[in-house]
Amino acid sequence: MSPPAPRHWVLHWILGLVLSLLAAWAIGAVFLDTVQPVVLDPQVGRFVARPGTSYRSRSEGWSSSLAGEHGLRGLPGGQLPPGPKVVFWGDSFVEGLQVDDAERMAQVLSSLARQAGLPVTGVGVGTGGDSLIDSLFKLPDYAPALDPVALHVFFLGKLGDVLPDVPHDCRATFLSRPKLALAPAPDCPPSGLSLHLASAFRSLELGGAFQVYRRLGSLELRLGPGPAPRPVLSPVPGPAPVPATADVEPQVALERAWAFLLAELQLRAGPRVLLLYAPTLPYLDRGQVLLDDPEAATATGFAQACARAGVDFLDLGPAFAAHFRATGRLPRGFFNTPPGAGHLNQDGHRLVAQAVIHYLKERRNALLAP
Amino acid sequence: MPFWRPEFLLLLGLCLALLRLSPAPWRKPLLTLAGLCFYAWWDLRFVPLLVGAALADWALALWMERADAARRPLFVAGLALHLGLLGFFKYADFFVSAPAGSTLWLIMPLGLSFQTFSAITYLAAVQAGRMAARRNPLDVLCFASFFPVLAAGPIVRAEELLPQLDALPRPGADDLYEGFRRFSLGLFKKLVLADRLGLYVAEVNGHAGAYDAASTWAAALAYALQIYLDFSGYSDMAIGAGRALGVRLPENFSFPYAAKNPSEFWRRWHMSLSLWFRDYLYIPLGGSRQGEARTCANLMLVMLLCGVWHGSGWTFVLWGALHGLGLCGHRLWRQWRGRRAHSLPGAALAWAAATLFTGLCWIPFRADDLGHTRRIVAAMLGNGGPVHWVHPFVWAALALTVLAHGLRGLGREDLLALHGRPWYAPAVLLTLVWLAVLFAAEGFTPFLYARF
Repeated sequence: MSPPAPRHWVLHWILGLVLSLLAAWAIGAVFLDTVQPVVLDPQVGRFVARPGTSYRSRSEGWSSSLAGEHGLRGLPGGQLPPGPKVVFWGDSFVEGLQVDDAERMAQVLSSLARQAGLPVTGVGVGTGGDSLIDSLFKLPDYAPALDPVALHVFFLGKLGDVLPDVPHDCRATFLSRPKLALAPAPDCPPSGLSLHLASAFRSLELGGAFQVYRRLGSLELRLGPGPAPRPVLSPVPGPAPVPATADVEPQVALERAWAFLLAELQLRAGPRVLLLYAPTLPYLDRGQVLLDDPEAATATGFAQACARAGVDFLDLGPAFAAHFRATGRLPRGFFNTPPGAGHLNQDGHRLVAQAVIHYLKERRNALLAP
Repeated sequence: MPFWRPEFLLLLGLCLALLRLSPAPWRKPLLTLAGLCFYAWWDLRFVPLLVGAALADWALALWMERADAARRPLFVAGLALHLGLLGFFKYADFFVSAPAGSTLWLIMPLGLSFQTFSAITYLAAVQAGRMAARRNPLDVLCFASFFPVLAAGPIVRAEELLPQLDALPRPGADDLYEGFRRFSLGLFKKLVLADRLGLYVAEVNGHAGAYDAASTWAAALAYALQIYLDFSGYSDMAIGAGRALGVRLPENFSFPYAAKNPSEFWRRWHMSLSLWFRDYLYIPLGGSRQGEARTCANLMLVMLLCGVWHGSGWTFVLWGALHGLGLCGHRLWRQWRGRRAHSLPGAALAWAAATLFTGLCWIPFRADDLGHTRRIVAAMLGNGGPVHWVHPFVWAALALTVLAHGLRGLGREDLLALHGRPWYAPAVLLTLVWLAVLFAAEGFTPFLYARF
């Protein structure tokens, strides 16, 4: 084949550029996560997923979900149902973008409750990156919309959420110094660019362009000679950092901090509260499937603190382990991500919902009395 | 400076622009400077090593050409210099740490294994009188620092590269298109296919023993694809970058998984290394001219050294030994059976056996140590754990590789290679680039062969 004439060749490249962009757009529309636009919800005074927009997850799982009233996902008809609700508070585990709407813990709970004849509906108020402390500050904002609430379920995917002095960017924090306190999140609104362009990116299926923008934003050029400077790793909070002070033992200080946190929890959420801990287990470690929670000591200590404060605490570790023994399946991980790591999958969400249904049945009279 | 980094594209673009604008005598110094910048970007401290070794080669080669010089001792001195450097940087830690449990924490200079072999080709060519020693040290330095091949080959011989560097052309449209074509194909292979397979392989092999047999077999398959797509993708990018500069580099791969026996595999896999070992080791050892026993001994020795060249660990020794045994076994089988063409079922059986053998040989090559190898093999034999995970991307990568090999088998590789500038070539190539940008695995994944 002889090379084309230069004029034709230029045309081929122009045509090629157009066709290649179309091809990349089409492939991105199937295989990339969507951009999620957010809007300020005046009723709750927070930025939430734009109601009526759907989200497609491809990087973890293969799912789609629809944002309804107040950006909450999986609501029947997009509207909050009347009647008593079980509200799941938490982070991306509760948001559950990795599973379809019907498979999320709140929706599975609604389905199981119908089957069991329990007059409750599940609602998930989860936002990626939120901690327990964020949920406590969110609670009064959402209270009018969610009323009546049969049970507040605070989901803990990690115990760092109940430890003081763990820094979170743009999030509420639990401080032990100078005195025990809960500090609200600083004002960190989404960037103007994302507020104004996300809708257009979403409508035009330009997830790929967003991906390029994100990659360019994190790109670091080094034009000088090497060796490249070693990256400084930020310290990762250990399993049980304790707020040591000059006059008390660390363990005593931690127990005081937990007592304070649980008192705040009861003050803000009332008596109908369940703390649900979903440890990262089973997990794989050097060729073995381990069923023991590496944070077991902290979990036990926190469970005892909950018992002293009269707050119900449920550790899902045994349920996760039993499920693995029975089925060989893990509650975390998807067909396109490593088993045992990442967010809860369909099994994980169902196990959470089953545990809460079981809890509700045991306390039916106390929680669901008219 | 990995080829997909913006810094590399900047260096290449700047180099092309300057070569385009500069008169012929300036091109070699410019290219040398670009090579030194490429190397310094990785680690400035090792630039004197690169320059020093090149100047030593220049001096030794000049010395060889003196009337009273004993060429062979000078060649041996050059060999000792390069193999000594390679041995020190690559193997000192292994020998120090093995008995004492300590290490010298040596940094392996970028591409040293490849530079060593290229440098030896220059000394060998001068010693054998196949080429004249270069009077200008810049010639040898430009050869030693030619940046498209500096990190991981292809191993290019002095006889091939030096004449091209002497007549370095102004970069033209044909060379730029061919360079972009190869570079884009390589970029897609590396960033989209190989790196994503690598994430799966790292997870399953990293937890060998927890995963079930199907997952571990899938990971073995994925690694066979990963290392091929990674290294052939790298080679495509190196060949493409070289071609854009007006230099034609030797091919490194020719559909290796189409091989029907171990000998054919080594004629298709990492060809520049295989040919180097053949010409500079196997044939000087006597090759196949001294009886079957000696031939097999030569094959075993060459493959063991090939394994050790890849790394200082018993897993590489095992990998080399397995390939040596495979080559000897195939040779004896051919002796017994005679040279006959395969029937279609016979060819399919031979292909399946060769592919399975090659795939299994990759297991120790990838493993951390022999214990890890044992755990992977045990899992493949059904003694693994209960966890099952086969990433569908493995099947997608397998389908693409089979498609490419199938088109080659049907004689239609032009459909993939986009030779001759068909009208749709820009659309295909640019799509590959966009996909590489969109779907590149997160995080830094160096070329697998850069560490060898």
